[in-house]
Amino acid sequence: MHRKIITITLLGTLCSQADILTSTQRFFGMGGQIPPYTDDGEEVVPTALGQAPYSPADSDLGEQSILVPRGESEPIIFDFNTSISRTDNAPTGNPATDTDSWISTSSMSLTWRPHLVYGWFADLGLSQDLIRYDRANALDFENFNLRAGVFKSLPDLDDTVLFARYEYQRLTFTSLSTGQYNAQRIRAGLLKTLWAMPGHELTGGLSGAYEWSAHPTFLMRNEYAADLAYHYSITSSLCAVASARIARSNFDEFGRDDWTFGSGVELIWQINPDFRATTSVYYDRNDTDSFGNFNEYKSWTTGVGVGLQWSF
Amino acid sequence: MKIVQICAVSGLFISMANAAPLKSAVVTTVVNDVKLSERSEVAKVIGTGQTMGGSSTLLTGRKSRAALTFPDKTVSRVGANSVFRFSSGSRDMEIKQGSFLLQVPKGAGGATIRTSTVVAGITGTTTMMEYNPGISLKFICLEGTAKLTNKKGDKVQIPRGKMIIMHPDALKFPRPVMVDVKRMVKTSALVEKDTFGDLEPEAEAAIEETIAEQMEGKRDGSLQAAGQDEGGDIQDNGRRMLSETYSSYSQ
Repeated sequence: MHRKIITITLLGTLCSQADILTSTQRFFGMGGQIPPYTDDGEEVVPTALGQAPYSPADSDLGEQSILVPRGESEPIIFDFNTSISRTDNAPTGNPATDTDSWISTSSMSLTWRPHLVYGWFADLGLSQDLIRYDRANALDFENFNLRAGVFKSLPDLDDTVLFARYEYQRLTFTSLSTGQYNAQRIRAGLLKTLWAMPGHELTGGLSGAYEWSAHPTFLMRNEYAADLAYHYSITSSLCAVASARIARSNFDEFGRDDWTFGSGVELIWQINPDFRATTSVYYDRNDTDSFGNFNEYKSWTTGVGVGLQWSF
Repeated sequence: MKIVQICAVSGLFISMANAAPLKSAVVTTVVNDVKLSERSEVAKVIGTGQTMGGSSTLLTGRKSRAALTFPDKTVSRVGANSVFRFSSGSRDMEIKQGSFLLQVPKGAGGATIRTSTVVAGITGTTTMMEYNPGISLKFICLEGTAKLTNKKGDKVQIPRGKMIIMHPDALKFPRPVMVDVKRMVKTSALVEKDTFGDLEPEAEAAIEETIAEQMEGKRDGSLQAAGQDEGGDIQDNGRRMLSETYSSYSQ
């Protein structure tokens, strides 16, 4: 009898909690996810997406985006990430011999975004990545990127973020001193949160990159891209990201046109403010009209990684 | 001199009249399942135009909302799955569970919102509140200022544009955080004009002031959205790099 009463009470509670959910909220599994609100007076921190934690009447209260005052000085952010993945299509320089392989990726980056004037921020950064395949015929390479630019959030345009930056990219093949590919470009675009509710965020972006220098020159191109990313903060330390990117590249020589499509899902476990663990699966595809479709590829990549981030 | 005295006395009377205790409210909006319970009686479905007395309790069901207007133009909008009542002869309101928006006109004498553990005192303010007994409490000040007091006597002042998020039984209040009021009022069902109409023009103007202040902070860069990843990269850089590099080098 007791068990019956408890079950009925529990069902009643769950039903009343689910009552105010919209069909969209139910679809995304919003019911029953009230985070532990501590009773020791500690601050309830916003979710990873900058929203107040979920509570049943969120649709009545509305979106609760937390605003924070910007500090006197912006920190420099150091990020390190290392991962082991499996791909079904490791590049070998000849698509006919592309093969499945394990990939080890290690990336380091430094980012600094200081405030310049009246909401304009600088975006300065550099990164170095090392990619190693276990197959002997796959092309191990290193990727160096440098960027310097500005961005500004426009509250009058519903918080759209505009950005423009100079980028330098250099690829080397197991010899950091001998560059095999380098390019300089200007990339500009916009970024916008399209939809948000506690624990969920859909972000979209458009960008264009104009390249004025590349070596070898036949790889010089302009790129136009659209990005979409959906973040789902499952718990305060676990976040899932589904993303998709479509890009068109016009190459200067031979009138080559490529369409690149990438999509995937990543699960990020933020172990503590500094350390994270990730697992992901991605699909990438490149379609081209170049001679013999020599540059076409499709690949699935899945793996696990760990990363750390320090600010100073 | 006589005119000044008459004006002063009239002003006093008006002020006293405005601070008068709340005795009843008119139900001005009903959406879906809204009921009124008179003490021990079974709850009855109500419609707009009906009067709610101080001994009554207003109950809303799923996807249901209601608005009450008091004689001094104090407005209470009650959200879904809520239990709300006010004490006749005082300016006390009580939320047993659920959410509501309360707009008290300036000079009306304020109001007190009670939950079983936290009391909010407001004067000439527009606030929103959600209370889930034993689980969570959210209190937002859209304009004006409110003061919360808990069972232990701990107090916290919540200025306009700020929100408190806490456990209702907390012995110490956490620090209020700033919330984006523009986004909030744009998406809040309790502020929805199609359902409830406009708030008092003075309250609307004061909320606009809060929004303008926050907008200016965002424009000049002194305020930013928490967790905002600016700079233009949506996809994970490492993965994008792999994809771009691959297509760069494929030849």
